[in-house]
Amino acid sequence: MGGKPKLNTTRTALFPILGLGFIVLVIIAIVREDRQEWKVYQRAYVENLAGLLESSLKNSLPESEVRGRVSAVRNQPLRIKEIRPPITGKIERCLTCHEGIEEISPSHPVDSFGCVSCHGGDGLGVTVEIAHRGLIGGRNPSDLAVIDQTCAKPGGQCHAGRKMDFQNSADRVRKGIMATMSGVIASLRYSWDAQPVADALYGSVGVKGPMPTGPGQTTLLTIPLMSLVQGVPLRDALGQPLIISGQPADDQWRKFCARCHVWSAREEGPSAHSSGCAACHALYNANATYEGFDPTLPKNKPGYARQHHLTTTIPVDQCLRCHNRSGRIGLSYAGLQEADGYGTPYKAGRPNLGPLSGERDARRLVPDIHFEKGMACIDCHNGNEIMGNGYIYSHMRDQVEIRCIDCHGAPGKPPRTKILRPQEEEALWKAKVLKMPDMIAEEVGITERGTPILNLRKEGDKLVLRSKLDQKDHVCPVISDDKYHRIPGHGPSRMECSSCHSRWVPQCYGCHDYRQRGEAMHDSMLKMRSDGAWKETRDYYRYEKPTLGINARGRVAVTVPGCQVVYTELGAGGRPLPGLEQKVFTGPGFDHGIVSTPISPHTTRTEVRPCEECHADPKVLGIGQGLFQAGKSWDENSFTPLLKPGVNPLGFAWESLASPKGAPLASTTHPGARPFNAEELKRILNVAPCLPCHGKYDDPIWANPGDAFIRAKLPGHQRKVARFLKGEK
Amino acid sequence: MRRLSLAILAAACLLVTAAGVARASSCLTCHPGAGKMSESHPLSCVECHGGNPDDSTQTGAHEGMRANPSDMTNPAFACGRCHEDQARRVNRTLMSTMAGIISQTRFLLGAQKDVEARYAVREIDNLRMLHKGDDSGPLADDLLRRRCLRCHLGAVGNTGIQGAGRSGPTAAGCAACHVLNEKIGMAPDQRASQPPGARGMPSPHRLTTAVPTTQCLQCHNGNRVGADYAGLFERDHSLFYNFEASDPEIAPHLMKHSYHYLLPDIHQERGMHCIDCHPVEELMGEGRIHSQAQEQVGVRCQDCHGLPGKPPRTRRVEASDSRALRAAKANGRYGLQVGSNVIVTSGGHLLTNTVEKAGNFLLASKVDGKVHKIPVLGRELPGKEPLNHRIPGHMDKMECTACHAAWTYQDMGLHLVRQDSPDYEPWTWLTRQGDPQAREILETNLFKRREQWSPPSSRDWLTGFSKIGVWLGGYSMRRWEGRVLGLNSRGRVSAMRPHYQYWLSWVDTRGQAVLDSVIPQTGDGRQAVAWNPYAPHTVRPQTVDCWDCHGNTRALGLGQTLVRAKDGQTVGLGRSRDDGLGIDFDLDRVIDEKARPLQITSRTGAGFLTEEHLERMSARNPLYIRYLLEFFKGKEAWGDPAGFTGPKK
Repeated sequence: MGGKPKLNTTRTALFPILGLGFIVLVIIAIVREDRQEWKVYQRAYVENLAGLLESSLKNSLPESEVRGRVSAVRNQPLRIKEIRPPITGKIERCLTCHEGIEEISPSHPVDSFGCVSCHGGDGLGVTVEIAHRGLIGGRNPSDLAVIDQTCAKPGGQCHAGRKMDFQNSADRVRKGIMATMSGVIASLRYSWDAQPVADALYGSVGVKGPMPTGPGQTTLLTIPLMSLVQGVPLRDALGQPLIISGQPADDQWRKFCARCHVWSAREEGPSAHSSGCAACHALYNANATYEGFDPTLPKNKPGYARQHHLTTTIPVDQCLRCHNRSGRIGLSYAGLQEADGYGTPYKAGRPNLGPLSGERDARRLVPDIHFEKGMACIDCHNGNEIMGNGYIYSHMRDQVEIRCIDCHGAPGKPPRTKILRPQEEEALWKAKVLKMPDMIAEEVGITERGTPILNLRKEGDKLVLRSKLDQKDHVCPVISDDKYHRIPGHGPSRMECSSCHSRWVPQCYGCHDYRQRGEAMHDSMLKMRSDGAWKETRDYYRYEKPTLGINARGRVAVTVPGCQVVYTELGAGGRPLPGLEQKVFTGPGFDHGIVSTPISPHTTRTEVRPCEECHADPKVLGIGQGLFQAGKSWDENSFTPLLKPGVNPLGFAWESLASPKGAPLASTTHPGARPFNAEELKRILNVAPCLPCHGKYDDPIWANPGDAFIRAKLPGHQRKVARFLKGEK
Repeated sequence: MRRLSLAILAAACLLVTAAGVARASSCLTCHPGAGKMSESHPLSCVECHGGNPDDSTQTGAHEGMRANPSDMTNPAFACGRCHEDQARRVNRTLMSTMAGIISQTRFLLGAQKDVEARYAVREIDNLRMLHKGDDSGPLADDLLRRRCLRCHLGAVGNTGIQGAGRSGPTAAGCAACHVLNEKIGMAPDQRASQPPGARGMPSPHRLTTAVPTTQCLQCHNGNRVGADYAGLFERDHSLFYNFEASDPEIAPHLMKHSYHYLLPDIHQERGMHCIDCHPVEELMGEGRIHSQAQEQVGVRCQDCHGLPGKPPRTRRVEASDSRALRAAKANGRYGLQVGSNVIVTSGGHLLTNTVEKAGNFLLASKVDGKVHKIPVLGRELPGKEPLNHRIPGHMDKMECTACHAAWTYQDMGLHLVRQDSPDYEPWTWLTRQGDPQAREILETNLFKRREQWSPPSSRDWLTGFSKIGVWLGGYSMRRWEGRVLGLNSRGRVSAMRPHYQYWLSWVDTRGQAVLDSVIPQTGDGRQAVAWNPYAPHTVRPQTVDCWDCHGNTRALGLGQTLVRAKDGQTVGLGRSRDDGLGIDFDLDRVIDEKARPLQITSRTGAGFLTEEHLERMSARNPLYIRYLLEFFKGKEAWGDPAGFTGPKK
């Protein structure tokens, strides 16, 4: 009995408490329901949409009507959005949160592809946690590390495993030079005495493929580690084994060079880019921020493509995100030269070191004429060159096939063309990918290797290039019949066009590399810090008077320092280690590490250098910047460099490729490339005395210089000269 | 107990000793190494330094003492008691007044209407003291006081910043030149090993008249005449361009700034020093106020080397040249005798270290006594001179350096910002400012966390007091290659240098840019983008090539241009407007094709090449071609056009 009233009391107290609890729970549930991630995002999207609608209608409709329409949008109920893309046949709810995201491209319509076929994840989830479980490659399914599950999915019939090899672009890209960086690695390792040959043995990530030179497969191994890194398995991004080399070259590549290639992304700054296919095909704005409509993506955080959109019309500034170091040909093309680091003129009193990554400033010089006319990189460089053609190349110059003469012709040889027939499957397929109109029976240009240049077509007797970016037509000047390119020895069989047509080229003289032991720095391949912090200083930077030499094709070409490395390894307290101070690499198989290399400057102008600039200037001829004195006999020639050569441990001036007598001094990483030899120097210098009177390229004597030199010796000409020397007219 | 008694004993001994020292009244007790100042100065310490020799304590003995009795700005200036005349003269030289730098800078920055000297670092004769550096005066004066006037004979030294107060730890006054700091050399960063507190004390307490080039470089450094004589060219400021090596022979430093080693002047290479060419009248002055260095300097190349057919002008030394004779005796490294013939400079001064002997002209270095035989053009008979000296117009219309200078200083685009707010981050890579004070301010702050940054405060070199703000700067580009020619105030073709092409900014204490990369207006209303003629001290026996000037657009002042073959149209290589410079010409383009000036000169009587020059110096001028062919003659590399052997088959 005594317990009953107690019970009653408890009950009476329990009801209101329970009731209150129930109400609280309901409120919590409502609030939580309302604050569900997808609702927050959808509301943000709707709000965004409403705002847009309002501002677009504001001026054309009466206010009340605008208000009505906008509130209709605002008031539409929030709901789970589902699609069932035919490719997977499974329900996806991704757009519930990501509503408003741009369609990735017309070739990848969301209605057919959905999201999961590329991105993976759990299509049924409506929370980040569940939906993003099993996402492939984070935000970027085109990253080369995961591409086998996405763009290159076996059996996916997408960009790999298809019938015709040229359709398997994902395979090609992985073998291409932008992914392997085999050339950079090979040249670096070769000139740092880490390997005995200048051809490629390693890639950024190991890859197998055919060699262009013969049958069979070749293998590039993954670039080694200099030393063991604690706690890191000796595996690369694909799980392939890594070796330990002990070579500083490998460490330097991983810390510096590896920041830019298709395997790695860069979040911030002027060089920000995605990895994989998106590295080129997803465009970035200047701040690397997202500008699109997906409400889940931040608008002011760097590291995002401009939109969720892939394109094949890639503008120059996208290419410049990577092609702004080393030869800097991307910058040069756009008329930008890396300046001397002062950041002047100041902006609001602050040095302006923003324009290029790594706090580098830029100076504007005359750009390449093609850039000036509005052409982009991809207007000259075709897919084979950019994405690779399935072969493994050692060097960029091997993968590139376009030449000036392909469009402009050579003296007596107009550019070659070809009429596209239905059996040209590759060309026609590419034209289709590039959204070009029906190309069958079109007459188009072809490269030396025979690849059709799809955007260069014959119209009547003219060659017309259509820019891939703006569809603008450019009539291509053909030089085969003009009077300007007739001088023997100056044709494209002997000289690269750029020898005369490039008036400036970036020249970075004297590179001092320091590696601090015991200090860590980010390894862009391991994506973590490892021992060895690098610092690099240069002696001076120039753009004037490009130097000439002979390139790997045996032609006269612009030659730049690249790289002239003096290496110092620092130990405790920043003190140089014995034997490793001011070291120049030398080794079997190559001369030394003070390297100059031929380059294609990409500063083409119709205006050419004056004859004297090459035929009489010691710097241009590779003798050096300084005082050249021609002796009575060739062996009495002398040269005094302006810069005391002590800063180069090998004792020659940075601009010098050869001695004033023609003995080679600089080394090179391009097999076959070299400075001018004595015979060539003589031939070139010997022209100088003719130039005062015969200094125009259309002077009749240059139709046959050999003959002219003989006639110069004849009494008639001798008398003329003698009269001149006496001061008579 | 034993210890205590020992201590008492020791104290007693000390007291007795101290008392003895005091009685001996000798400064040398504490300064045993001070030694005699020079043979000509057999003086007691007190005669120059003052102080109280009867006191044995440091404070007592040093009461009323002056560390540097040669400081002319000090009321207790001691040297003047004997050297009244020298002091009077030195006080009026440009090294003391800085009137040249002041008037040029003030004119270019629009603070005065012409370049005539009106101001000096202190009041003297008709020159007034430069306005106070407060913001009521022109900005130019603040720039001068806090950046430029660091180097002059009376600068406030011993700032505690190593290398500030003048460039180096040299003293003020007479001692600035005559007391050497032997630790200062071509690679003076070895000075870092000096014990702390050394603060620019002269290492030997000694006066000398054998002043070596290294001493002159304490002030005459940076990319200015002086440093070029030693082949020094300041490296670009950015840390990306600074080179570290333990060997000073390949990585020279001056005032902690690193330099390139370029080809030095042949005179330096042969062992000659600044004072071997520049006589005392040019260095210590003649007592007159000058506006520009060119007025104070009277020595010319031809004074020693003559002209074709004209040997150097000499004069017999008379007993009345007593000052010169006394100076020679005091120096002791060169002999000057009554009756001998010595060279006279164009300025009318004796080069007392030269002598004509049996038709030869000899020069003895005032620093090491080494005798040099002077190559004289006077023996070149008319018509037999070397080709370049025979060409009409070359000898009478050009400075020798127009051809003989191997390289020139071309610091294009001088960008200066007065930064009054603590915003150091953008200067992280640019702490090497070529100015020890600016560098110290940047480095000190950048070393700290941002929250601890203090507003910049820099010293006024005339008052020694600091105030808010610091002048920071940089360039558009610095080059040594090639040359740009113009006309100097003697009307001769001369090498030019950008001097200066100003872009000014000023950020106030709130961080607002009051001035944002503005080109100042000169006193006569033109853009202060200036090139001026100068005398590069990079002389080499071998000249540059004919085509380095003739037909060379850059040398002629047209800049680097591209010439279109079809129509002769020229295109500049640069794009200054797009670079944000606010001008439509390249920095090395001083005139247009019609020789109309695009930039200015601020030297009285100087100018750029004229249309007539452009025509005559064209590569197609028949007279030029005639001599050019002669130049090529007899040299295999140039195809030996006399024989026209042509290229070998």
